[in-house]
Amino acid sequence: MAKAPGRLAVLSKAGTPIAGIKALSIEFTSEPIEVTDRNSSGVVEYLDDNKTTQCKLSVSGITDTNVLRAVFTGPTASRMITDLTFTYASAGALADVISGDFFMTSYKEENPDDDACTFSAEFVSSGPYLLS
Amino acid sequence: MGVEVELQRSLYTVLTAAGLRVHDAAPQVADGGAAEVFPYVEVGFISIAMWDTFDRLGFDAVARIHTRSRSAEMMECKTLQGQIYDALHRATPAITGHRIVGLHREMTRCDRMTDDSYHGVCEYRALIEKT
Repeated sequence: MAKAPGRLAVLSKAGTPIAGIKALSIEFTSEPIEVTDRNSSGVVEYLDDNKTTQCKLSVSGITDTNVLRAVFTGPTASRMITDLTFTYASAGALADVISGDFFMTSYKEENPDDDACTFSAEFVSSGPYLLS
Repeated sequence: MGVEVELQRSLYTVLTAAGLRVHDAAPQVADGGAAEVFPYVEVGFISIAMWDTFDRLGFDAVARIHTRSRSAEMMECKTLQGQIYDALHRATPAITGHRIVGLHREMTRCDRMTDDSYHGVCEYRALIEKT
């Protein structure tokens, strides 16, 4: 893969890129299964399998649409999003795409009197995510 | 034209419409002590930082607007600054090829110069996106 500017990464909902993004990050975490016992000589041991694996997306920028806000509109509305995709930045080549079900864990908007409105949101994957 | 020119053109249009004598940078007068060209305003001092998002180009501009007065007191300079404030603070003037997201005054001051004229400085911050 060639070097590429971060702005070419895309976060889309229902196929439409989220507008106004200034920063977009993707993070993968895995928690191992520890099997350290008295025979480990004090050295931590893990199984080959993961205990849990998760994909986390974080986004922030200048509020331009209410697409993400709408997910949090009702206090009891589901925050599970099934049409979110992350496309890696790519310099011309076909980019990898992460898709799957994501739970929106937070959404925040800042409204300063002397600056533009900004937003930030975080999503965590639920169930297997797909790399295509 | 670029945002530098179009923002200045917009400021010139708005402040001229407010009844002010506006220059880019004031021309030098034949007689350095002449007072007839005063008071006036200069709008050419603009600094711009980038304010892009992934999908749009934007600019974070600061326009430093100078007011020059040779009256016997600061009142004229401050009156000009008040007129500028009324015309620009929280206004949304048209900028060709661009859109103002926000415009507000950041600071203002008025100083006495060594030639006994008065020099006012106001800074206005403009958040602008390219259309």
